[in-house]
Amino acid sequence: MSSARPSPSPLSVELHGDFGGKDVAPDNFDVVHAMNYVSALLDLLSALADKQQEPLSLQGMTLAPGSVVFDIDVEQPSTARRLVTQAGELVAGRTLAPRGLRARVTRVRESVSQLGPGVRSVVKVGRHKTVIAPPNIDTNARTQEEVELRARVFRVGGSPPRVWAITDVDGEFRAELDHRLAADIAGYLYQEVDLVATIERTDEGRIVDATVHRFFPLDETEDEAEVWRRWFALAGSGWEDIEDIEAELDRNIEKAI
Amino acid sequence: MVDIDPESLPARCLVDTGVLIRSLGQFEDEHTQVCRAFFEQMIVKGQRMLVAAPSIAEMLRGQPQPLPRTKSLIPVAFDSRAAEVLGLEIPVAVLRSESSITGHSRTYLKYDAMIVACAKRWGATCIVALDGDHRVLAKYVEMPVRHPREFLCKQIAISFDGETQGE
Repeated sequence: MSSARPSPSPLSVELHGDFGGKDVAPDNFDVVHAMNYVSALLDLLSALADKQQEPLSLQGMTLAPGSVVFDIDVEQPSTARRLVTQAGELVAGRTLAPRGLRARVTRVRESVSQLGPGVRSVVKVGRHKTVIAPPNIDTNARTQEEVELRARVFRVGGSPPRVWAITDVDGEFRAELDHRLAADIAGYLYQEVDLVATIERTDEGRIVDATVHRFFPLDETEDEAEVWRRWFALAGSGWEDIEDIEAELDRNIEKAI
Repeated sequence: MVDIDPESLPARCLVDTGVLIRSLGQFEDEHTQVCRAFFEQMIVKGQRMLVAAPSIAEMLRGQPQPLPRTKSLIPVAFDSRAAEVLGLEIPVAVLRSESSITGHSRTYLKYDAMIVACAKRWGATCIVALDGDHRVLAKYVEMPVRHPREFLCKQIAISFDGETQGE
C-alpha cells in the first residue's frame, strides 16, 4: 500500500496597506524590497526548522491575483503554523533570538521595514494569521532632534547662509545658520569642529534638514592627553580615593578577556 | 614598560570607563600601565576613541567642568539612533534572558546596553574594555570587545644561537 504524499498547503505572505499613496497592489509594490522580505522570512523559517530538527519543505510559489500575496507551497502546515508564530515573536522582539538566528531576524526586521511606512505583512497558514512586524519603534518617521556632531566643514556661503559638512558616521549634510555663525565658521574651513544643530533625518538616518545653533573648535594647541587629565583631575576628583574601580562601577574584570 | 604596536590599533573604537579612568587618573593597579600606553598611542597615531555619554556620567565625580574638545577622544551621545540600536538589536527579551543568566539586574544591564548601543551607532569597530560584562551584550550587535593588552607589541624570543624567532 502506498502512502499518498499530502498535497501542499499554501503559506501566504500578504502585504497590505498604503504604498506611495495607493493601496498596495500587484502593479505598484516595490518588487526588490518585497522579494528581499519574502526571502528573508523564508530563510528565517527554514533556519528555525533546522534548529528544531523539523522537516519543512517550501517549494513552489505563485503571486496570487488581485492582491500582493505570495503563496508558497508547504507540505507541513502544522509545523509551518508553529514556526511562523515563533518567527513573528522573534521579529517583534518579544522572544530572544537563539544563537545562529540573530542575523536572520535582523534581516527580516530590516526588510519588512523597507517595504514602506504604510505597508504591513500578514502571513497565513490556513486560517492561522501572524503579523510580521519589527519591534514597536517607528523607524520610518522622520525624527527631529538637537545633536552635537563632530564634522569637517568643507563649504560655507550662500544667501541665506549655509554650511556644508561631513561626519564620519552620518555622511555629508547641509545646514542653515545665521550670518554671524557663518562668518565665524568660515575660519575653520577644512577643519573639524563640534556642531550643535537641530537635525531631521530620513528613515535611513540621512540628515535631510539641519540648522546649526553653535559650534566649538577643537583644542589642538595642547597635548591631548594632558588636556583630558586636567579635566579628570577636577571633574573626576571623587575617584581619587577609590581602591577598586570595577567594584565601584559594579563591573567584573574578566581575566580571560 | 609596555609597548603598544601602533599598527594593531583600531581606527575607531569605543573606550570603556575603566580604561579611561586608569588612563586619566592617578589610580595604579596591574592594568594601569597598559591602559595609559594604549590611550597615549591612540592619540599619537591620531586614531579615534569614542566615549559613550553613560561613561562620562560614570566618570563625573567632582567639580563640573566643560568637556574638552579634542581630536582623538570624542564624547558621543546616546541619541535617537542609538536608542533604535538598543531597542531593535538588544531588545528587552535579550536583557531579560541575560539578566537571568548573569544574575545582574535588568537596570544594570540597560546601562551597559546603552554603552554598547553607542558603540554601534557611532561606528566603532570594537569596544576596548577591561571588564567582560560588555561582551555579554556586545555579541548582539556583533561588536568585538578587546582588552588593551591585545594591542601590545608581540614578544620576540631570542634563541641561544642569536637568531630571533617570532612567537
